[in-house]
Amino acid sequence: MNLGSIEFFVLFLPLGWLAYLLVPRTPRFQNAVLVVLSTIFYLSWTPSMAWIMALSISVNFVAALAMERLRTSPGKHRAVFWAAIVYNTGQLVFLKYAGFFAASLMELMGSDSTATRSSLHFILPIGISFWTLQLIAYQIDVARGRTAACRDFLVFSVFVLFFPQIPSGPIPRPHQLLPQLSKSRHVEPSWISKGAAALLMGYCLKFLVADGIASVVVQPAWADPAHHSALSAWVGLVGYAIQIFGDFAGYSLMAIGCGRFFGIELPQNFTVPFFSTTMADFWRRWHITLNSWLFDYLYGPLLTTRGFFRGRFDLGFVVVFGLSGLWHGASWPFVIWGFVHGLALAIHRRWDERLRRLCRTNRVWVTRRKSFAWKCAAWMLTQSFFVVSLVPFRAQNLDELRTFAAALLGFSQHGSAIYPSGLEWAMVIAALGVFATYNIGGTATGIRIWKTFLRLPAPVRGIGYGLVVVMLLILVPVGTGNFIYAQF
Amino acid sequence: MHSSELRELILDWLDDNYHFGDARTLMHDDNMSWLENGILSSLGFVQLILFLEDKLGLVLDRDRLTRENFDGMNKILRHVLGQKGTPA
Repeated sequence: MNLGSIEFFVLFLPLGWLAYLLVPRTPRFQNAVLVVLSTIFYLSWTPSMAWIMALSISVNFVAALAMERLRTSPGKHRAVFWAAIVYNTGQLVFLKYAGFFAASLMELMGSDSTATRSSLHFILPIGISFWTLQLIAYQIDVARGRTAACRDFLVFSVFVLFFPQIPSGPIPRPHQLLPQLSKSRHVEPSWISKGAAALLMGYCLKFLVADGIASVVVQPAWADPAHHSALSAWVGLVGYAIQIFGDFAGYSLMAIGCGRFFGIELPQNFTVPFFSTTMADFWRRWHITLNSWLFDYLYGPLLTTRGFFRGRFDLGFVVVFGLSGLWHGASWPFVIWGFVHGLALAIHRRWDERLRRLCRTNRVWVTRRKSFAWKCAAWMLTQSFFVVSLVPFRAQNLDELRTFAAALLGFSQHGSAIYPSGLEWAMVIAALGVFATYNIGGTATGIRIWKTFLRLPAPVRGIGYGLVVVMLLILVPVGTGNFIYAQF
Repeated sequence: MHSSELRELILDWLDDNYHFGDARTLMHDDNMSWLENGILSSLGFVQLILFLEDKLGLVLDRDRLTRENFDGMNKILRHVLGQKGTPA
């Protein structure tokens, strides 16, 4: 059961919500309902691995309390802190990467790695990459005294397990979620309205934009890149950029929307990334909760230590984005994708430093830097780089990466084009319409229009939402499609 | 170090590195968020931390060094001046 499945929408969400509204409005009862719902939701994914999640919640709950109690004994405090970090990281590394590292080592030594890869291939507990980062952030914040250790096991369980966020985030910080869970939630009509709007927009982004574009242009182009023309390959690649955005931003909005139905605000994960004019700006708008986590808990501390990394901004980018690539998946194309982005950020930082030096000596460069033409060129370069960088992100292995790159450069063997049918064209047009609507919503005019819409009488808004639902029912086969980021 | 001196030092750094003479105009309120108002990016904050540590010869308290505690002129002044070892 995922956030887009029929059983989620028809049974799980309405019944769960009803139960939530019917219990006494106290944190204890409300959190108990959320724990039950989240456990049912979790068990519908990977029931055999539920014990890992249960153990993680217990270990982290106890470790944080122990750390707080041992604050006056720095040695013991540090020992508990590092034990918790090693436990969380070790669990993720073992379950997700053991097979990859062992197989890569064997391949490096010229041995056959097939048996090793399959014997060390584990079923991953759903969302492990996401909640591991959430738990590490919790331990660091408690260790540094930024957050008090949670004393209520029920609250802590919802903090980790809350069902909308569990498969693919957003990754909330302790200070964002724990205070909300510690008090009773009154589900105001405005929250329901905002939740419904986010849920609907997320649903459109996922099922109209991502799945629509994927079936018409992305899958045909990627299924057999060696037999497609360069134009088809480029269409497939740009389509994939729109698909992955719609898939993940759509999921994030659905999670945020679901959260609001229960009076809980999850952090934003996307703010119109296709408006970015630098890659640094792009990563501040795309998967915000992961990238701010990487910055706050890895990049920042690494660069401001007294050690080797102090002030080595470029090396920091390459290392952190290399790890980000690995976080996305245990395969070499992901590692390459991460390094390429780290390198791009390092190159841009050098270029920006040179430009700032020119700005200091001559104000003409300041004017040039702020000009429309400059911004257009920067936007073009940033977005083109992001799209091309998706080749290693989408490729399953190094062979597919090579074949698709060759198709993009026009080296494919045949060169046939993709020919969408009439209905498929309608699908693509609807997808691009929703994609454009989302992006216009990120501009000042779009925000104004949206605020005006929210001020309309409820029945008028209801008709608007109804029309969107009808469009979804006509164009989208209900309950289809998995989320790309759920596999990470 | 006095608060106004530190403020000038930070504004000069912003002018030299990011705003090239416009920092004082942009900074109409010492309580405004620098991240939200585009005054400084998160990378810029790291550069500012390194600059202040090198210039003032201190190590800023990492435990309290969060976005929430460092995002804005007044917050930075409070954080740095409240730090042990800040030059008088």
